[in-house]
Parts: sequence; structure tokens; C-alpha cells
Amino acid sequence: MGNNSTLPSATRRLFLQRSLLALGAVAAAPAISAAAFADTSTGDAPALKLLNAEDYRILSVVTDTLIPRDGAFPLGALDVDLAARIDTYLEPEDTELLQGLRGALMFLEHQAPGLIGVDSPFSAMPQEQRESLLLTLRDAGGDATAVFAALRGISMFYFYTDEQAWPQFNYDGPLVKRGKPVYPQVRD
Amino acid sequence: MIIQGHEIFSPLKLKTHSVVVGSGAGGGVAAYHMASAGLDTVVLEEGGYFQAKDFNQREEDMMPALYRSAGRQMTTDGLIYVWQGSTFGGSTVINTADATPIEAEVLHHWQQKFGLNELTEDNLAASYERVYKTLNVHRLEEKILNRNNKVLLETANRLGYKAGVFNSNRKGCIGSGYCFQGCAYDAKQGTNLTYLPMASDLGARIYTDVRVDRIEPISGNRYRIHASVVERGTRRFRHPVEIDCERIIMAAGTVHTPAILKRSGLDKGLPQLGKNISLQPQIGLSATFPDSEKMTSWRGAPQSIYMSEFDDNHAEHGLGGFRMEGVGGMAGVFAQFSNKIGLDHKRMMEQFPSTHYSALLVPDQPSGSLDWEWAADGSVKPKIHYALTAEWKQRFKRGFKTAAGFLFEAGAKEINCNSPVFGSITSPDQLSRVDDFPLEPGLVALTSAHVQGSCRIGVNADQGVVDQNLKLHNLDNIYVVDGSVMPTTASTHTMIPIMVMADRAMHKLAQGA
Ligand SMILES: Cc1cc2nc3c(=O)[nH]c(=O)nc-3n(C[C@H](O)[C@H](O)[C@H](O)COP(=O)(O)OP(=O)(O)OC[C@H]3O[C@@H](n4cnc5c(N)ncnc54)[C@H](O)[C@@H]3O)c2cc1C
Ligand code: SF4
Repeated sequence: MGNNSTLPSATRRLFLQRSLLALGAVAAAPAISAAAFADTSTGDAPALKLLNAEDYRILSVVTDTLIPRDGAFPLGALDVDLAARIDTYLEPEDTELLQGLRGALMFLEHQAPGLIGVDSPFSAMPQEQRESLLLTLRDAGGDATAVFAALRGISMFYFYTDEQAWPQFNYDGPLVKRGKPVYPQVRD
Repeated sequence: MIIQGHEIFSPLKLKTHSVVVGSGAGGGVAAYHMASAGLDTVVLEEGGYFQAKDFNQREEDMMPALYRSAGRQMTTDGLIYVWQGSTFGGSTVINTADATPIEAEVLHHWQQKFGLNELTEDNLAASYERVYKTLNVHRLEEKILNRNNKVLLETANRLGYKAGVFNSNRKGCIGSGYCFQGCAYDAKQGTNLTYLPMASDLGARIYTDVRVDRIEPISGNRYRIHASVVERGTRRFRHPVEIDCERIIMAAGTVHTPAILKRSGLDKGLPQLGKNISLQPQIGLSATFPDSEKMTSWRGAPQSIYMSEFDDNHAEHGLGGFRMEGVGGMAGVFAQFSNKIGLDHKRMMEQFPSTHYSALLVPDQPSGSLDWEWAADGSVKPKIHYALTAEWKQRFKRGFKTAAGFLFEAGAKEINCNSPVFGSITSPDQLSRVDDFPLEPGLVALTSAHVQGSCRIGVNADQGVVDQNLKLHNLDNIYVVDGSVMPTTASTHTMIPIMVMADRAMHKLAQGA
């Protein structure tokens, strides 16, 4: 796939929005087959709000590549089940966001490996190769970079706001310990 | 009285004298003045009612609760986040409580370029006095200044640069550091704790979770407001609201006030409506210092010190140049800075306590415009069209280089920014890389916390949407008192300018002048 011109402009503009704070994103890249977008939910991944099992599986691998275990501190994305945490913050009304996330995951899983001449899906690649593919996307420009930025943004945001991560990066976090505000429930 | 949306169970019809649309900086001031004049006043606020006990100091929870579109509102090209509050108190709930006046050069610019001769420092003086008193504006106390901000002041002093400590609208601030998430201690004196309760005490009825959809002129110089009670969070339509009134004061913010006027068909004869948008875009910078230099950016007043050596304010163009201001209290947003991933990124984050964060603010000239789409349920989807000018890009790059050089001078080892592709700068001899900085959508995330324009003041309808008393040029008894009225960006921070302009106009109106 060419990096700069395969998406319709409106879709591409959305694609360019780069973190979950802006991943208002992609409905469907034409270069990605309709089959790849099919809901492959098997119900295997428990307690997911909006992601299906396949989204969750790929997102878990992506987050593990971006925030692996060990190095400067032991905790990695898999330890906090970051993909599941991201899922809890998706809202059903955010259809564009959800579609954007799916589009980015499908692109990465099925299309991006071709950019470095690899046949297997992203999630089947070894860690080092996955990281190097992500860096290739980063430097490629166009839609590839947009996918990199979006997945990186969402992963970093929700990992480093997770209180399990705070001691790891020497952050003692909020002074108040409370849950999220509860919105009043109304039945009309 | 504050009535929350979930306390309304059926369609609502009301009659009142004055309706204020929006409860932020401008709306709060207007509500107070109308109520204090003894007028039956209703305030309608689309966002929810939250109090100190609801604020949990976490970005992932508070941005969806308090920010417009959960903080995801952007320019149409995806280059600039346009942050606005959408809650009881509007953006004054989520701002960093820096209190800056309209710059004298800006007033001169408005006089010279737009003929706004009534907006002089003298004519605004009484409003400053009233607003400052109500908000408890004072110089920030030493004890809540953190190292993250002080490093700017110390370095500036060493270099002989101009810098200073902000005035602020706080009372009893403990320096928790989480102003962007709403103040859990009722220290930040937003309209939620000042003008709105004062208006309520004087009899104003304040409805939250009620979105104004359109205005219908009815007989006898009166108006009917069509609004919707919405569900908190999802903002799904619940019940219709109709309010007949004599006067409407629009304060829904720069993006939404003109949307309501447009949808109501009240834009006829107002060619400037939706135009002349300034964003004052800024970029977040991070600078890693040696381990021994603890910045602890998340504790203390997040934005307390500015370095203003390169401000370039003139009557010819208003605000110009660029400046740096410390910033803190957003670990999740800051974790996105740099282009690193994997173990490299973890190494960088491990140094979070010794990392300094600041914003590089680069004022712009009004160059954006708005248009809108409406869904069947009346909700609006704004489109913010905005293109960076060549002159701005040049100034941005000069500002970036200067700021990075300044941070190296302060002792930084490595500098990053909110771009997922622009690599770290690790020594001053790499600053020329900034010449190729990728100012492209998707390659950098700029932020605006100061969207202004769209209903600017002008001496006539060809020039502006409202007159110098903030009344619509084409209709009686409709006023606009929010950030949309600014002809150009008013100050480095916009809350006080909006409140002062609103105070002047609403005080006059309340006095029957
Ligand atoms: C993160 C952040 C930090 C900032 N920091 C500072 C600072 O330190 N100092 C400073 O001076 N300025 C700061 N500002 C800017 C300042 O707070 C705003 O410019 C100012 O509050 C804008 O006032 P306003 O009246 O135009 O709108 P707002 O205060 O944004 O209020 C508008 C209100 O109208 C409501 N509304 C919108 N549409 C409708 C509708 N259809 N019906 C009913 N209600 C509606 C919104 O929900 C919102 O609550 C900051 C802004 C942000 C976002
Ligand atoms: S720093 Fe002060 S004003 Fe800001 S949230 Fe903390 S206590 Fe409130």
C-alpha cells in the first residue's frame, strides 16, 4: 500500500488524529479487506465492553510492543492488561473512535507487515521485529505514521494514568483517592 | 437554585426576563449582574454539575466529565486540539487559574485597527476591580511554586531575561497540582464557586445538563429559547425545554455561541459571524534534567511562572512573539511526548520526577473560521477550520529553538515535545533540526486553550457581530459575553479579559445604562 494516498480525504483526516484523546478516526481504509473488518468476536475475551476478542488480542500485542516488560522498570502493558483498560474507557457513542481504533489495528495486523516484506501478521512477529515495524511506520509518513501515532498515543495515555504504573516511574499520583464521578442515572 | 438535568422528568416550559446561555467565564458574570439587578434570570448550561468531591485528579476520568468532547475537539485537519470546558462553570473549572489582563498594546491595536474607542484601560478599570475582588486575584504565594516552574524564573534571571510569577484566582490553594482536572479543594475561584453561587443566592435558576438548540423571535420583541435536557455523559436528548424571555445573553463559548445564532437564522446581516478565529496555539515541551534535579512537575501550582523576554506586543499587531510557561499535572498527556517506544520510552519515563514540562505559546492573528452540522436531535458538530500562516510557522520555529536553547542553558540533557515523530534534541548544536520541524497533522499535536473570535466586536455589522456593549448588531436584547467577542487574542490567558469585558457590558445593562 502506498503510504500517502490510499484513504479518502475525510477518512484520512480522521486517521491523522493521533491519540485516544484524538483517535476520532478511521472508518475503513479501502486497502483493508472487508473481511478483515468483520466482527471476529468469539466471546473468548471475557468482560470486554466494546472491543471484540480479535481487537483485544491484537491491541494486547501492540501495547506489549510499545511498553514491554523490564528495562527501566519491570511493569509492562501486559501486567496491567492495558488492552482491557483501554476497552473500559471506550464509549458506545464514540463510534468513530471505535472504528478508528479497529481500522488502525487491522492496518497494523494485516497491511503493515508488507511494508517490510513480511508475510505473517503483526501479532505473529517476534518482539524485536514488531518494534522495528512500528519504528518503520513512525518514519514512513502518511497513514502509516498516523496509525503509529494513534496506537502509541492511546497506549501511553492509559498505561501511565494507571495507578499500578505510578510507582514504577516515581510518580506518587493524585492526593485524593476516589473513583470516577458517578453520573446520575435517569429512567424516563 | 441549581437544578440538574436528572431532576427534570418531563418537558419544561418557563417564562423569565433574562436567559444566560452557558455558565463559564462570561456566563457566570452575566448571570450575577442580571440577578443582582433583580431580574428573573435563568442560566442554561449544557454540561453537568460537578463539585470538589467529584474531582479525582485523574485525566482519564475528568477529561470526559469536564471537557468538551472529552478533550478530543480538534481543528478539522487534526492538527490542533481545541480544549474547552463543558460543565457548570465552563472552562473556569479546568483552567490553571492564571489571571492576566488584556494587554495595553492589544487595546491600542483594537482602537487603531477596529476603532473600538470605548475599550480603554480607563473604561475597563472599574470592571477589573470588581472581577479581581470577586475572584480573589493576587500574586501566587511562594509556597505553591514548584521547581518545574521556578527553573524558568531562575534561568531567566541568570540570563537577564524578563520573567515573572503569575497573578491567580485562588483561595487557600494547597498546590495539589491538578488544576486541569478541576480543583478538589474548592481553591480555584472559577465561576462555579463565585459568580454562579452569587447569582443563585440572588434568585437565579441555574439548569445544568440543558443544551440550548435555537432561538426563535416571537411577538413583542421577545424570544423563545428551544433547548433540550440531555443525559449526563452521553448527552443524549431527554426532554424538550421552551423558555420565553425578553433578553438573551449568549455565553456558550467561541465555538458554540455562533452555532446557536446560525441555527436560529439570526446570522442575517452579520457577515463576520463564525469568522476571525484565533487559537493561540501552543506546544508542550519536556526537558530531562540530571536525576538530582527534581522538578516534581505534578505538585504545586501547575502553571505559575512565565518567561516573557520574547513577547512582542505592539499596537500594530496586538500580541506577537512567543513565550514559555511551566505546566504540570498531566502524566498521561505528557507520556505521549517524544517519538520513543519500547525500552527507550520506559527509560525516559523513569526520569519523570526530574523532567521539566512547559508550554511554548505562540500568539496568532485571527485566521480561522467555523461552520457546523446539526444532528437530528439538535446536537451540533462544529468544524473548526484553521491554517497556520507562514509567518506563524517561522515564529514557532524561532520560539522552539529559543526555548530549547533556554532549557539547555537551565541544565537540561534532552528535550522532547508533543510530536510522535520528532526525535529528541540532546545538545544545542542540534537545534538547526527545528528548521525541518513537522508542522503537519498527525506529526505533531498542538493545543489551544484560548479559542477566541467568531462573534467579534466591531463598530458596525460589516466589521463585527456585536457592538462595544456586546449587543448583537442586528437584534435588540441579545448580547454575547464570551470569548467569541475578542477581535484578536486579548492576552496570554483569556479568562480575565472575558470576564472584564462581560462585567463592563453587563454592569451597564444592569444599571439600565
Ligand atoms: C485547559 C484550559 C486551561 C486554561 N487556563 C487558563 C488560565 O490559566 N488562565 C486564563 O485566563 N484562561 C485560561 N483558560 C481559558 C479560559 O478559561 C477560557 O478562555 C474562558 O473560560 C472562556 O470563557 P467563555 O465564557 O468563552 O466559555 P467557557 O468558560 O468555556 O464556558 C462556555 C460554557 O457554555 C456551555 N455551552 C456550550 N454550548 C452550550 C449550549 N448549546 N447550551 C448551553 N450551554 C452551552 C459549555 O458547556 C461551557 O460550560 C484555559 C482554558 C482551558 C480549556
Ligand atoms: S493546585 Fe491549587 S487550585 Fe489547582 S487544583 Fe490544586 S489546590 Fe486547586
